[in-house]
Amino acid sequence: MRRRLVVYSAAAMVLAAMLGPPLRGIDRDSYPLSTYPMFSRDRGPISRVASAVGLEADDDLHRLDPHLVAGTDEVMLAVQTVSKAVRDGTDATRRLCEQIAGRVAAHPDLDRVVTVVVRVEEHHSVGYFRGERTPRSVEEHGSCGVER
Amino acid sequence: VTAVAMARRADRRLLSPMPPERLAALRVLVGAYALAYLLVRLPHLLAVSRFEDPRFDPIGPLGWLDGPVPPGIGQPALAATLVAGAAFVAGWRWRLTGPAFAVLFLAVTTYRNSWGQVFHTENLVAIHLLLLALAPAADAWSLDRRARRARTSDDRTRYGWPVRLISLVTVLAYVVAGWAKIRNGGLHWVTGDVLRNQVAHDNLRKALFDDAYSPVGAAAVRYGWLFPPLAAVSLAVEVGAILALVRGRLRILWIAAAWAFHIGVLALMAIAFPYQLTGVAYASLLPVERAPAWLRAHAPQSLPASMIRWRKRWVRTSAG
Repeated sequence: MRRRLVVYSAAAMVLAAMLGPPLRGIDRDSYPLSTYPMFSRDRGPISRVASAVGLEADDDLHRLDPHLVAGTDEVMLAVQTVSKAVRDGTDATRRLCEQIAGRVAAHPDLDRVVTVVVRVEEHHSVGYFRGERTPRSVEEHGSCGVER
Repeated sequence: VTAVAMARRADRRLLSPMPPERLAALRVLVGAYALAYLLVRLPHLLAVSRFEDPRFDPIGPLGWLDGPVPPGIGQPALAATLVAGAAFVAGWRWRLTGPAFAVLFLAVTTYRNSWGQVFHTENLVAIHLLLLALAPAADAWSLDRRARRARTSDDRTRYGWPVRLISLVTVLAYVVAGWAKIRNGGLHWVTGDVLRNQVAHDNLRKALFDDAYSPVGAAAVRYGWLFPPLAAVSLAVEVGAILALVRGRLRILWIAAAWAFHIGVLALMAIAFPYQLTGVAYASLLPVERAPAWLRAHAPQSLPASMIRWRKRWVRTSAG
């Protein structure tokens, strides 16, 4: 009987832990108990992505990878880093821009990049892969020079 | 009457006996996976341990933190996690190292997920480790057993229910993911362009960050008709996870479908769920304790001789 009580208590806790967040309609995702919201929402065909780019003196553009942008190999973390800086305003954007510029300055293949720009680009996400590579709109949120 | 009969059947299933080797095999598989995962991701985890910026957004069990942990604490904690992980796999001083590794793994992965992005690749393994840590998972195939600190009990029911709870967690994770799609997207999630836009958006973000994106996904999004069937199959796999609680062919069929689903995610979005792709996530649903005997029985008879020849050749090459 004692074993049954332990097993049923444990099973009830597992069910409550796993099903509690979705049944309560919690919107904010967490860890390790999750509502697994990934890919569930209809985001529409237009994507607004906060990113950072490097510009040469003649305005040639270089896409900057997650390591240069956020010091990580995780692209999602890099996306969130730029998004949060943009949300947090001018000071946060400038700080991030300077951090990125420091990493760009130390990168041997980017010695022609003179400016880093933090910006939000709007693309038609499906159209991008049909060849529409030019953003529909670009909002610049900050820029800084690359000092070497 | 039907509800009573179902309750009785569930009761019998939950409390039916299981060999201690099943739980031990799960300890080795899940523990080894978690340890290998930490080692492979060590450069990333070390980078995260040095993050100081205002991105910090603590979640879950670390929600109480009001700022990033200094590297002087984070990096020794990471080292302790690796040591505890080795002890977990070996089943050494289980009562201490089992819970220690489960809690440290949870802490390390929660910290990694506390920077504005929840990754969903470690949730299942973290919960599986916690359940294993609370179970008698080192009564067999362990250093504790060899040192006579542990012994297998004649009461085999104590080895069955932890395995079934681990399976239940796996199943519920898929069902909850399926439920989220129905709740947030409704029927439109299947019939509309939701999945297509998600695949395109995910690959676009990677492209804009000069990161590797999926060429398969990039090509597939040009053909809208592909996505409603893919969405229907994805949803069926997630909600149909409940079939894995039924023994026999349905369970095997679901495991194969779930694995194929993750291959599809990898192909379309370049997103890897390594716990699922290695199959370890589904181990509790299979008689994994029989694997060593099966391997012994099916290993090629000539293997020892060929290994000896290979060793001789290697020694000669090294000496030369």
